Amino acid sequence: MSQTHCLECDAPLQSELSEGLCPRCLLKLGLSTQLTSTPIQDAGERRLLAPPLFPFEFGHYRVTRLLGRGGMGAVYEAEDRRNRRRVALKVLGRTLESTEARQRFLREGLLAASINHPHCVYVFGTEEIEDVPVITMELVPGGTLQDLVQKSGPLPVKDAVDRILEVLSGLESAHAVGVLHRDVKPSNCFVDSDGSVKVGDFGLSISTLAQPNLLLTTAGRMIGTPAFSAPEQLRGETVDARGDFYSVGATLYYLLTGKPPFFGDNLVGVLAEVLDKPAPSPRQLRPEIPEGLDRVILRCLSKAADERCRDYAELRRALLPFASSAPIPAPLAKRILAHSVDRALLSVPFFVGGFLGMSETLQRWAWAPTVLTLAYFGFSEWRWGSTLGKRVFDLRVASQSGGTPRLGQTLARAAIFYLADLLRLITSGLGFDLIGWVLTLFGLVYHPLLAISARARNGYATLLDFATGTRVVLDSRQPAPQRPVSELHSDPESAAEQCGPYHLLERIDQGAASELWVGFDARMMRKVWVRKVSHGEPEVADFLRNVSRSGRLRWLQGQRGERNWDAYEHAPGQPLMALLQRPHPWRTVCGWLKDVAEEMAAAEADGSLPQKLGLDRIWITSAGRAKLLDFPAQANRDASSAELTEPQAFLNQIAISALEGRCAKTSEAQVNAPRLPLPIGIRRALVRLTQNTTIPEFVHDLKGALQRAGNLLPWQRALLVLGPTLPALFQLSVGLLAMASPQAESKPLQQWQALVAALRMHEDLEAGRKVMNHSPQPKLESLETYMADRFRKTVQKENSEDRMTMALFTDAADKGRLQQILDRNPYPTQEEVSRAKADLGDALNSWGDPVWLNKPVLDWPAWSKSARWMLSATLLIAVLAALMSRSGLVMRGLGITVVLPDGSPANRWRAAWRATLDWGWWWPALWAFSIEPAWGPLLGGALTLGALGIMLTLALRGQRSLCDRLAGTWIVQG
Amino acid sequence: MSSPNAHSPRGLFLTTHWSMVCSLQSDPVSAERALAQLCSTYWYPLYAFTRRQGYSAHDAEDLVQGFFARLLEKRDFGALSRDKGKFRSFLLAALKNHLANAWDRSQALKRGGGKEWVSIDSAEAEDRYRNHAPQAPTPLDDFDRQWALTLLDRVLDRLKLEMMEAGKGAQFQSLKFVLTGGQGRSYADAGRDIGMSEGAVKVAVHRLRQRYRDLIRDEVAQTVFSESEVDEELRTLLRALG
Repeated sequence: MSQTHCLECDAPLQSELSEGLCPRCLLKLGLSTQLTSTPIQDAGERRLLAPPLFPFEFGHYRVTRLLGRGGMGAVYEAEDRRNRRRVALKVLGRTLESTEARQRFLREGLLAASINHPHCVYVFGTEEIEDVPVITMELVPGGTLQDLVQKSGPLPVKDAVDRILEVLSGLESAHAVGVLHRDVKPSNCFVDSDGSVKVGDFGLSISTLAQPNLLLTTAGRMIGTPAFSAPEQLRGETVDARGDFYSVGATLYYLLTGKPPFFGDNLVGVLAEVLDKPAPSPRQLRPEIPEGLDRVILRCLSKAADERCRDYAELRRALLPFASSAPIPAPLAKRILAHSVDRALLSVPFFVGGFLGMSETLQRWAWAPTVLTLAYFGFSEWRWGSTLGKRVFDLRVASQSGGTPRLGQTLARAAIFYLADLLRLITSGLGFDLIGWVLTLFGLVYHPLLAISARARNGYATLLDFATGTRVVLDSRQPAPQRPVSELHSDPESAAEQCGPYHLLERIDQGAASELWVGFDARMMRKVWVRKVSHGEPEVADFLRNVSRSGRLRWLQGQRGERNWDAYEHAPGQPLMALLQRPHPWRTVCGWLKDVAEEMAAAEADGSLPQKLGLDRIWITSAGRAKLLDFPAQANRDASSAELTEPQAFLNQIAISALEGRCAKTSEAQVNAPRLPLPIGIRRALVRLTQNTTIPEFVHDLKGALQRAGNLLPWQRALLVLGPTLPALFQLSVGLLAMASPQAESKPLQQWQALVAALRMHEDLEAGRKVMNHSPQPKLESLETYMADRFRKTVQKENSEDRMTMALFTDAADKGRLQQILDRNPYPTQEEVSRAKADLGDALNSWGDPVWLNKPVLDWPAWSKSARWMLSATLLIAVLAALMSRSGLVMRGLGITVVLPDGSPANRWRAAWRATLDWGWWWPALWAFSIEPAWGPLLGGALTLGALGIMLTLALRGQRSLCDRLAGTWIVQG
Repeated sequence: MSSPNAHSPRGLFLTTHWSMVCSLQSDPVSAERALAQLCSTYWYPLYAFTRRQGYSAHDAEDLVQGFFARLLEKRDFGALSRDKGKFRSFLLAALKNHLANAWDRSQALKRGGGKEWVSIDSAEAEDRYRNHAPQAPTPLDDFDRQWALTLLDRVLDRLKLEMMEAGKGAQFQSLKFVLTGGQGRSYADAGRDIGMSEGAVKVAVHRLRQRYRDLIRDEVAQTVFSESEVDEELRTLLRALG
């Protein structure tokens, strides 16, 4: 039974029935009341090919079915009989009398042919068959996004965003070569067999490099599909990438709701709406669309191009939070650091206020800090998903669906986190002050309590996160672009040789029986590769002719007979073998590995895996992507590589060779993983490769690891150096500060101590007892005069320090005694006070009277002792923590691991040794401090700052800190 | 826009086969003839439906013949009334009833008396059934689908016959593609094949489409009561084609 499909409606045809005509169309004709409106009536306007039944012959193509109709013609599935490749054949459907149509059609071919990207439909060529212009394109078998929505309804949110991101990357690649699409819509986005989306139909695209082409599309002719076109495009104004962003937004709108943003019965109505009416929110049609995504879509659909995203990166960044790639939970340490930054920021206004002498005002506005804090966190996390502090540490708050949280959620987060402050604010309003102290204590345990539920398995969710249905996650970063690789060049050959339609330009590789040339396709205005092979070389296998994956070289055409050659897409770059003279960064190598592994997984699935695998079959394009070649391309003839057949060992061989910058032996690749420090996740994936893992599993492992792994950022390295230094710096600053300001301020505690001491002395004198250490004995009157002068203001609680002093001063008997003294000596004159002080003499020194202190406060030996104690304690804790967890608490919190040079995790003793160096390097400085008060601090300070400078420089400029170099370790993420 | 009469140039709706069948009481002879005419046209959908119920080719043929016997000889129209609506619906309901009564082969023979009431080419039927295996999800949908295909075959046969009688057989072969929206040939190409100018082809095409349309509406009209039901029936059949 031969079953083909109707050209008109794609319904199946049964040749034996209905005279071989389409039954659907026949029935429709019976229904139709407009006999004159059939397409064939416009024979003058349509130059159509094809007999009524598929398959039919058309030039050297065997056309098998209609794939769809577009504005300019129809697209058919066909097989090129010359090379047995299945292609999509786009045929101009209008008359050839229209020069403009013909020009535009052929221009589409040329423009689209300049783009070679995994998310753009590849154009093989243009030609004219029976006087009909034809574009031959890659066959994308899965229909369009419009078909998908029509068949199964609106897509799940994440699925839709994933697909739009693919569309964006295709458009971006077109934009990179100067092509604007201008007709992005669901029916122009094609779904490949693996589900990925390719942008096609560059029928309206223009070159941004060649402005004169704009003329073709002006002059009153409407270009584009109104429902998906930007207003400025409909008005015939100049369009840039932001015009495509509008269409992308409209397409996403359609994928999510099943409807374009504007639709109607007639064109004029739709045009008017697109030009004037604000786009309706997609959430009205589908409430589960996250608010943030709704905002992104509406921003894309802004009438003014200026209000849309500025560039592809911005739009992608806005969409990424809603894509299916799962957000990575943020480690607690990062959250604490981010929060510290926010707190510091929030305290700035109050600090400045205090500095400017506005403390009175600030006291009246005691509610301001708490309210400002709640508003700051609540609003920024709702509006931007992040606060400034979180932004610094690449964190954001996400709702459980992955989008930005609602205002209620973010306010609840802030309110729960600052519960203690809130309660204090409320209770102070109610007039009972003391509870503030309780709340301060409560606050100390409250925050650690909130974090009690945080586990790696629940994404470090605190009780706060659970209560509000939110999570703090690492902000989706764009995958780091692959490092570009320079293009391999050789001297252009003078011989103007030609292979088929291709002019040979330069030879880039020469083997025993083959030569690889860069050629030029003058018709498509693009470079190609031409591989000249020896006589007898078999033809490229059929399945390779149809392979259209980005990890494989696309075969274009070939010839056998008198001349033997094959043409491939042009892949500027270098063979991997030529790049093995030096080690490459792990991220670059993992990108290559991912490309090769994905290709191998796909090739294993469809049986197109090459028989022979070897390092000489990997090509690195100038964009930094790896391609698996079906022939050897070996720049370095000396380095021979035995051929492997085991894919896992082959991938491992690539990893070792590229990471270590040498040509790894196959025997080595079968057993060993690369020996160098790598992020733990990456290393784990590579180690598993030498064990029993399948290629798809490896791809999965590697993708996950790549998403999580990163190089340590400069701030992380600086923090790692500063962290262990902080105790020392603290001690140093205390010492230096004390030396710089010998007059200490009166502090509540000091005042209280002085008060109590004075009272005891008063007791003794009154009772006639001898006061210790005082000779001659002070007079009772002098003491009373002095006390009345010094403590009257304190008793009257004139300022906050006085209030705190009196809060400490609780003994009722003492209070009574003091009051009596004050009553007996109402207001002593300055002269009386001076006399009293002179009489009291030394006694005052021990009471910390600020006026009488004229020697350094810093008790040097005491300071030195306490510093040694404190620093030794921190060192001990650090070493013990390293012994227990190998990385130490701070590093564990930041997601960092200490490894040995071969990449394996450091053992406990090595970690402890590293911690000793890390936390103990200031011992010499401390020693310097303690030798002599006069110049010791200067030497100590100089040593501390000098060492700190060296360590920071090393940390910021290199990957290894000084103590890592001394301890023979590396720190990596993981 | 043509007037309703333009669709029924020969006053088709005055007496259609189905309306005649339904006027059994008043004119039994004409009614029987009309019914036989309809049955001989639409036997294949019944056969395919029976086959899809799981009966063998032989049993299906006997059952369908038995069904016709009961329908025509015994005038066993059961619940037939004007309310039943379309002939297609009636026939299907009656057949289902017939099959549900578990008529075995011997009963069928006995009732039918071995007589062929409607000429069924069993080899052709089985061939068609096997080559065009049912595609619709349910036997009921498939019945409608087969009905539509049978209807179209009948219409095209009539059109082709008319054209051949008028000595325009070659013209029909060359121009029939215009009935389904063109299918990609130009008038000039078609004209070259049959030695006609492009203008003449245009006129011929117009006439062909007009005639086809009359015929299909006429054929459908034979199975419904009123003209107003023709469009509805066509739409139903269009839906059945998927």
